[in-house]
Amino acid sequence: MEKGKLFYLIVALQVVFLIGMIGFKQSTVWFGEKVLLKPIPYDPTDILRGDFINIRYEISTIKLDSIKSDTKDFKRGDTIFVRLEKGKDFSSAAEVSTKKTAEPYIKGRVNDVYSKNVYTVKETNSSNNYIYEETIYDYEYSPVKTEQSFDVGDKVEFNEFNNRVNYLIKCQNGICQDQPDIYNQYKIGNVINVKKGIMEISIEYPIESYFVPKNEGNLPQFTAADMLVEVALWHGDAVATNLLINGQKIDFR
Amino acid sequence: MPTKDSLDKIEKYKFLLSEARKLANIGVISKEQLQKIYSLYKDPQKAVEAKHWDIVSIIAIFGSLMIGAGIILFFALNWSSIPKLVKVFSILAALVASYYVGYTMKFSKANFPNVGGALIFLGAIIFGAGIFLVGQIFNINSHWPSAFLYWALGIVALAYITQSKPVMYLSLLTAGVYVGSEMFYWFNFVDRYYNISYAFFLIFLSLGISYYMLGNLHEKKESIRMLRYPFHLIGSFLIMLTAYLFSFKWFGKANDFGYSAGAGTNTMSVLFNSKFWIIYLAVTLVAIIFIFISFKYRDTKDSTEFHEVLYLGLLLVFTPLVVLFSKINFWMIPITFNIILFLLIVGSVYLGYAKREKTLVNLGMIAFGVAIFSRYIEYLWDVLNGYLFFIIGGVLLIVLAIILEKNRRKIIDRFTG
Repeated sequence: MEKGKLFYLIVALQVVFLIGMIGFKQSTVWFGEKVLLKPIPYDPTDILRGDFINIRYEISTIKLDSIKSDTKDFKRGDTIFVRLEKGKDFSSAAEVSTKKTAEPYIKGRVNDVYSKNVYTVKETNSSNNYIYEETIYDYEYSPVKTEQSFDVGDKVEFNEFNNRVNYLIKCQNGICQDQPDIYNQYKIGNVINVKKGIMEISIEYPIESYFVPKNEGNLPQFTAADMLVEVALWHGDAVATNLLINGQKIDFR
Repeated sequence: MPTKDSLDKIEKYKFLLSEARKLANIGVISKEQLQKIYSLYKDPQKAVEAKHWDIVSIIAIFGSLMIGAGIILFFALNWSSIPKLVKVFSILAALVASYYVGYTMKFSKANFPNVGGALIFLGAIIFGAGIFLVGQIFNINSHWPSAFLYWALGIVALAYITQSKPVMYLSLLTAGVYVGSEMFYWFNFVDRYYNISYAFFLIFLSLGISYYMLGNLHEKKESIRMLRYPFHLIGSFLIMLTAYLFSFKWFGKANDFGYSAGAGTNTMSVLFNSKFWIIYLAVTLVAIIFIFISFKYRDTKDSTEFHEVLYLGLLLVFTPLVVLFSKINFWMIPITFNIILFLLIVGSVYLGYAKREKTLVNLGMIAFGVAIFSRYIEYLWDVLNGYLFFIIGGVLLIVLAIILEKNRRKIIDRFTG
């Protein structure tokens, strides 16, 4: 073929490729099923594409004991299919599998596999119960074995945020040593329930970035708790299509 | 390899063609006749090789780079006031326009070949900008190595068709970024974060050797001979980069967990059960294949290529072994890699001379300066007082510069002299 024709053929192929990529993604947006997911955001910058919100989801970590799955033996780097089921406000994971499940499902990759010990702590002189999740990295070369052992009835000192315990320590011989200061308010309580060895997997999805206009949007003030992400799912492809705050789509203009 | 005789010939070609252009400009001969003379005499290989990196080309390429960077930045700002459809069409229009004007200037009319070449290069950058724009519109994850793969594959054919070195440089670099980030990603799955091993740098050695050997193969075919420069330069750069990264004394020490950062904790045990190593082995296999092909088609009259194949082949096999077995004594890594780096620098300067590729000589010289300065900072900072460090360092640099300049000139003079 003559040089000029070959050149324009490649140029045409580049154009077709870009339009094809848009077509592929747009068809997911048009034909895909829309689900709402619960996010946990933070925001960095990509030098080639600008500012984005980095999003992890409520479905990014899944406890294997409490979900239907075709295997419990996931390894880091495995491809995983997560079937979603509509809940009251947003969709949650209903099934995980190594093979495609019924629609709607989302494809992800197993990032991490670990086990957790879950303790329920009751605050002394109060009816409040708090949850403490302790992650156990049980690897051959693990430098730190993070496991502490708490038993039912142990007197403990802890601080909490959003009803979840960040820090928990046993009071030695019944004496709690950490004094509260302006940064940390410690509470005292007793362990009332212990569940050990709950297998959890962390999953990476293709919808963890949401690109936003730079220094331009009039974003309303909001907390992550008010936020949902609308995602289009179509034959395994996923596109994050909208951010919702209190059920309203954000208009970045 | 061009001889003095062939260099003279190139000068004569250049003279003839410039005279013909003048004659066409004042109307003694027609545009068609000029084209005919071009097609009779213009051996594009030799003509372009002779002028090499023309200053006009460089200015135009810088212009294209700036426009390209501007376009990428503009779309990265993600103006919400511009509808997405308009963004997509404007980038496609810019892509086609840049290619069309570039092709017309360089080939169809051949009136501004250098600027035309730069505009084709700009088109290749805009293609990448288009990929990232799609990624932005559809919120594709920030970790997206495939974007660089699409970019590299999308433009590599253009580099061949238009004989464009800048486009080939861009394609090889984006392919390198793809391999590196894919590797880094799979490396995350090898073991937990505290087990950081920099063994994944080794992939750049395999990639560099593949590029270099491909460069040798390009030398065999007259029509693509000119494109060997990007392969040789980026290949040599990646090979030296690997040796340089491992040459720091930091690799000789055990980290908090009792392992060297170079070896990681259990490099051996993950060898056969992770995708990290599968990718590494795949790229290495490609390098081995190219080494064999390069060996088969080597220039038998000249031993240069035989030695290239031999030493790079040894390097490819030997280097991972040093990293794998460095548990015996971590100092194996910095000591071996400093020796390798030194040999590579000498080899690069020698090859640049033997193959008449100035870029390799320059690369070797720059690498030498960087390596000396790095070792100076590493080993003498703790020993000397601050002011002494700077004075001695400054004197060392000036002496180094004198040696480099003297030798570089001497060597490059021999290219033309």
